[in-house]
Amino acid sequence: MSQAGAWLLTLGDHRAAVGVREQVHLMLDPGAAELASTPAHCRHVIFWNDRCVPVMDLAHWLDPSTAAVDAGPHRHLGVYAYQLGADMPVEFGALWLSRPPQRVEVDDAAATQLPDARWRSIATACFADAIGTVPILDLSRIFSGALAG
Amino acid sequence: MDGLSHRTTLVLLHFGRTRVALAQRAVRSLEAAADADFAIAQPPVLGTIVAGGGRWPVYALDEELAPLRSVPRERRICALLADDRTLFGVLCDEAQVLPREGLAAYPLPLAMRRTGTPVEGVIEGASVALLSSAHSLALVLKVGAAVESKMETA
Repeated sequence: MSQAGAWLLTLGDHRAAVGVREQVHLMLDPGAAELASTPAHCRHVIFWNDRCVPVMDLAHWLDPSTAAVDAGPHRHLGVYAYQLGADMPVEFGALWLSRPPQRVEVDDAAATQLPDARWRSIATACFADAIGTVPILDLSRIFSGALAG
Repeated sequence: MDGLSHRTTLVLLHFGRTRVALAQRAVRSLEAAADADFAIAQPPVLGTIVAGGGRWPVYALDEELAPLRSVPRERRICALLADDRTLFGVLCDEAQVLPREGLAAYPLPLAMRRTGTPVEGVIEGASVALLSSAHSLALVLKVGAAVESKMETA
C-alpha cells in the first residue's frame, strides 16, 4: 500500500481533493473581477502572475440552486496548475473555497466509487475518509471549457 | 492577443455596470441616442438612425450583453459600429476613447467561453473591461438577419 499527499478542499457543502503539487497558491482575501456574459459557475477572474485566471464556483455548478459566490469577503480561493495534454504548457485555474485547504495523506486502500454522474464528469477518482467520500478533481477537464455550455 | 497593437486606440462602451472595449476602427461614430428614430421597433431592432450616409438599425444590450427588447432611457449615446458587412447602432450609457498602451489584454479563459458569447477577451487597466468586436456584437444582435430581412421586404 502507498500513500500520497493531497489538499482537501471545501466547496460550499461539498468536499473534494487535488494532488498536493496541483495547488500553487492560496488567496485568503482575494480581489476578483466579475465578468458579464460568462457562465453562472465561472463569473470571476483574478489577475495573477501576469495571467488572467478563471475562478470556478464548483459548489454552484454541482448544485445550481445554491447561491453563486459574489466575491464578497470571507471567501478564499486556491490557484491550481493543470495541463491539457502531456506536451501542453502548464495552465492555471482557481476555485472558490469556503475555508482554507487542509493537507491530508490518502492511502490507496481508501479508494472508492465516485458518488454520481455529475462528479464523474469532473473527477478522476475518489477516496473515503471518516466523514464520507472525497472526489479527486480532474482540473484539466474543469478548466478546459467542458463545463462552459 | 487579438492582434491589437499597443498603438491601437480602444473605445470603451458602458452598458450599465458592464464595460466593453472595441478597437477604434470598429466604431464609425458616436451619435446622440436622441437622434435615433424609435417610432417603429421590431425587436431586437429598436429603431433606426441616419448617419454616415445611410439609415442603420439600432439595438441595445443589457449588462449581460444580451439584446434588449425595449429602449433603455439611460442609454444616451448611439455607437455606430462597422462590421465586415454593414453598419449598426448600439445604445450605450457612455463612451470613452482610451489608448491601448498600458492596458493588459488577455483571451477569455476557456472555462468562461459560453456558446455565442460576444466576449473575446479581458482588458485590465485601472479597471477591468471585456474585449469584443463589432463582428461578435453583430452576431449576438443578429444584425445580419435584420439586414437580410430588410432587403427582402424592400
